[in-house]
Amino acid sequence: MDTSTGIQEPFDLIRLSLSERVFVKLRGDRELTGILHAYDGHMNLILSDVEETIMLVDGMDGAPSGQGVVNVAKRKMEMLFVRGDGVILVSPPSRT
Amino acid sequence: MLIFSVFKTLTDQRVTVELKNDLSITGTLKSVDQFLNIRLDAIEVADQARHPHMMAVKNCFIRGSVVRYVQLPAEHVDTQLLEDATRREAASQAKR
Amino acid sequence: MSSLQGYIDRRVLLVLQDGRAIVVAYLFPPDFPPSLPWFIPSFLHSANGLFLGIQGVLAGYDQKSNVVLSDSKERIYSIDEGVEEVPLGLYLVKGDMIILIGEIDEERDRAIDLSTIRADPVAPIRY
Repeated sequence: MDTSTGIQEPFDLIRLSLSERVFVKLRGDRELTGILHAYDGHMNLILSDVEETIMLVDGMDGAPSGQGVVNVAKRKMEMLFVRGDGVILVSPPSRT
Repeated sequence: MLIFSVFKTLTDQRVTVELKNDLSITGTLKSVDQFLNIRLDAIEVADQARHPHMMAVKNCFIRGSVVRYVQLPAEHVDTQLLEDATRREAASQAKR
Repeated sequence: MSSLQGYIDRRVLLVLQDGRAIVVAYLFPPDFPPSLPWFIPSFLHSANGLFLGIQGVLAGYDQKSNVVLSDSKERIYSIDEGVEEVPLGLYLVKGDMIILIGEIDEERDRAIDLSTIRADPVAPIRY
């Protein structure tokens, strides 16, 4: 397998997403999309043209799951460093 | 080391550090270390009415592990350089 | 953490993991006698169990950035009443509890009337 382009380990998937728009899921019900410019082994990321989505669930205690009202807050940031310890997943752009 | 180097190039620029307790502090980046601990000068805290705790604080040291995001000045980030450096670092990791 | 160097002997604000804010009058030098019995602070909580804050002078720190505070006070913030200052005195705070150290501008600090400040305590860090 060609080691310069092939995917052999998980980080290869992220490497091949450099300079592309990625989807990032974070702890604390946060999600980002942005163009990936840098990452390291801790999953620290640098993204540009970022849109953050924060899900705020107004969980009424005792309400059946799925019944809580979900408020969504969005904001945009031009250039963002994301600390890796908050990252749950990084997903490459969909190729559809 | 890559991300550490990026922060070093941003010394003396204004950045906004968002902590994992939602506190958002803007200041002039004075120094950063290998743990990505950050020193900021001339700080301003967002939404001071809700966060008056640091009103009299002029500069601060922030533990790297409590950082969620750092908003960077996009005009001082060379994204092409970043991507090249990231690929180089990924390649050197793979050789090991 | 060499970056703490600049805060020795200054009046500083410490913010801890759980949101406590401590004002310190002086931080001790790094070679502070290690034989000294160090006290892990048992922090103060409000009647409803909320932690409030701590302030003082940074007295010293070591490799793990544990710090010794002298003449420290905890600032307890509340949305219902002004800030309460609770004297703590000489304290050791474990480095991993500290999320932020800030140098206090004494003039600005004196100009603030704490009794008029209404705010929730700093939120605890959630990883």
